[in-house]
Amino acid sequence: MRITQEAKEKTRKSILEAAEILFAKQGFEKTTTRDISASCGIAKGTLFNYFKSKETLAMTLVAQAMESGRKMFERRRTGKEILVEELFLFIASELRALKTFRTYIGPVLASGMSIFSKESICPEGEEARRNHLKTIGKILANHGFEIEYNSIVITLYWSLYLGILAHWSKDKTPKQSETLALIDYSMHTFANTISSNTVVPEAFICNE
Amino acid sequence: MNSLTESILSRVQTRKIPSSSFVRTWTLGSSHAKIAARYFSYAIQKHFVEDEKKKDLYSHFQLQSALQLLGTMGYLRGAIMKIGQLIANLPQIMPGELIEIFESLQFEAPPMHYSLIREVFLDELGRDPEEIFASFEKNAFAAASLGQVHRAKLHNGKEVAVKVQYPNIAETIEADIKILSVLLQTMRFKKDFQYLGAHVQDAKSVFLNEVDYLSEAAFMEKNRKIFTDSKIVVPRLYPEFTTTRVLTMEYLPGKHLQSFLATNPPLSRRNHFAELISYSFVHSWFSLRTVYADLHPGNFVLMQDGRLGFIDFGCYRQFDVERWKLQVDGELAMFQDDRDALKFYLTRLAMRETSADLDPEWVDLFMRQLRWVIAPVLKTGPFDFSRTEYVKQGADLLMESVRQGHVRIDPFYNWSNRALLGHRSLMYRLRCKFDYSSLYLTEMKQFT
Ligand SMILES: Nc1ncnc2c1ncn2[C@@H]1O[C@H](COP(=O)(O)OP(=O)(O)OP(=O)(O)O)[C@@H](O)[C@H]1O
Repeated sequence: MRITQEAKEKTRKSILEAAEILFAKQGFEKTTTRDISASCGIAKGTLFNYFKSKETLAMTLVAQAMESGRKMFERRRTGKEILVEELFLFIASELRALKTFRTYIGPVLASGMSIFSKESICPEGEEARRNHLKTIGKILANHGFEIEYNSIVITLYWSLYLGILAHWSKDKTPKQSETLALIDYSMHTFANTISSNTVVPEAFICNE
Repeated sequence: MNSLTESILSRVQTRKIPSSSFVRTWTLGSSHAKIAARYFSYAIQKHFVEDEKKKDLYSHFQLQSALQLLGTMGYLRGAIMKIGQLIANLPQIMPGELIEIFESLQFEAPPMHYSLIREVFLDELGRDPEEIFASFEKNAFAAASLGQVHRAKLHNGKEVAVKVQYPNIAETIEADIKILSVLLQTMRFKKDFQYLGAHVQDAKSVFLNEVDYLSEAAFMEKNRKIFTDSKIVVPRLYPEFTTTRVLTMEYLPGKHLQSFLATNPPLSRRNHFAELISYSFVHSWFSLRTVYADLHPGNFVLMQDGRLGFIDFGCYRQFDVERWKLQVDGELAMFQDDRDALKFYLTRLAMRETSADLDPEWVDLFMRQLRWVIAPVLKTGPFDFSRTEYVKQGADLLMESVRQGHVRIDPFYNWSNRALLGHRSLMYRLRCKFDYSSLYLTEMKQFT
């Protein structure tokens, strides 16, 4: 039983690896599940035992990358960031980890992380969203905002975040520098809104 | 003072500064930019409002609101700030308070937080600032028009200034200029409109060049060479930590003009630095055929030991060989009062076929401007730059030319004119009196 489990895990991993390479090489749209199964030497039917669809497969890859982006954020975080900075650091780290998926993240998220319904049909996507928002919740709590997962504040954040992703996936500026500016504006807007300008955070840049 | 100026002044004076420092940096930045934008639209308006008042007024409002919008976008306000700096160099036109505000634009740290700096570093140099440097100050010590400047220490202990550019600034300037060009289209009924387009394009090329820190670095190196063995210090470049958007250079300790003057320095000391500033200006003019379009107090560091730190080599314009020859011949003609040669110079400058095509009103004004410019060179012995009449005359002439709205002129003239006014205004503020003529003519002889 143990061996089967291990073998299963191994196959799953090789499918993911093959998919990542093919997506990067020939694009997400052009890659078929047949290509992927052929590339790792399994029957097409076998692939479906692991992943329901090409979209689920891609969503799993994206979710993994988001996870490593979160770890990168934890590593880079100094604990001295003000709210905007910390939010910025999180999103920027995540996008860095997602870089290889940039050009096709749109269709993946559209199907994997349903934008229009609160509950996603794809469990991988739903989990990725939950994990992302959990981190946001933690960051907010670090700065004195205790906020429910279902609150409108989180919905506001999520709309801004999706906007950033959408922009990023189409950003033609060198090194997606426009997205950096957009993350910053969005997070300033967000922080300003939830604090209604009433909190007095420490100055992050001040000449006096 | 006209009503526009007054209303701006009152806005500035009554404006409450929000107590949250976070909000403060954010809104202060944009209100400065808004004022700059207002002035800019004002200058442009003056340029065009003449005949068709109604139409003009409409475009003026359009222009003003568009520029204000540009100004609100936090640190993406580079282009507008440049205009503000240009205006700040004209002390006689602007009320003192406004000059101070504009000046503070150069010293106020803009809202780029450390997380953003880190991302720019990762994109540009592949590592965090703290990995690259022995130490890196998270808070910027100075604002630059297109970025901000941080102090840091190299592993060998050397102190450096690291200029980091705002993300996306090149695209923003391009977009700003596009908007401006579209808005200017509403003024296309104005005569010589096509020449105006040339000016805008020219400004665009200079500003976009400024966006590339590698090109700034290369030019800084060139300047370092021409100023070795002088009392002018150009910072050493650290190319291994320099990219298009990050510029690492030697840190120069010292004071800017404002704080220097606040110490009430004696005339000899003021003259000393005035001469050095003039030398930096004149020497690069003749030896590199270059004009620094951006001659403002923020670009000079007055050092304790009497040396002058010369920084910022982003905004310049270089003459090509042919244009330079015209320039030199023109200058000689001015000094020798050679009327025919001068006519030829003016004809070329105004892009006319023959001198008969020249607009006599323009020629008259231009000649008065020239006489103003060369007055310190023609005067043998010390020239008194502290005389208010002199500066006022220059400012009046500028206003007159703004009113005249003559745009059919070689765009290069904009830059040299801007630089000259910048220089004279620095001299005025230093209240100096020295032999500018010898300085100028010696350089001229040596290089032409
Ligand atoms: N090497 C340096 N040593 C000390 N201070 C420096 C140095 N470089 C820059 N600074 C400080 O940073 C400010 C802005 O730098 P710099 O003039 O190079 O920027 P800029 O983008 O060209 O802006 P501007 O157009 O306002 O001149 C300077 O006015 C000065 O106070």
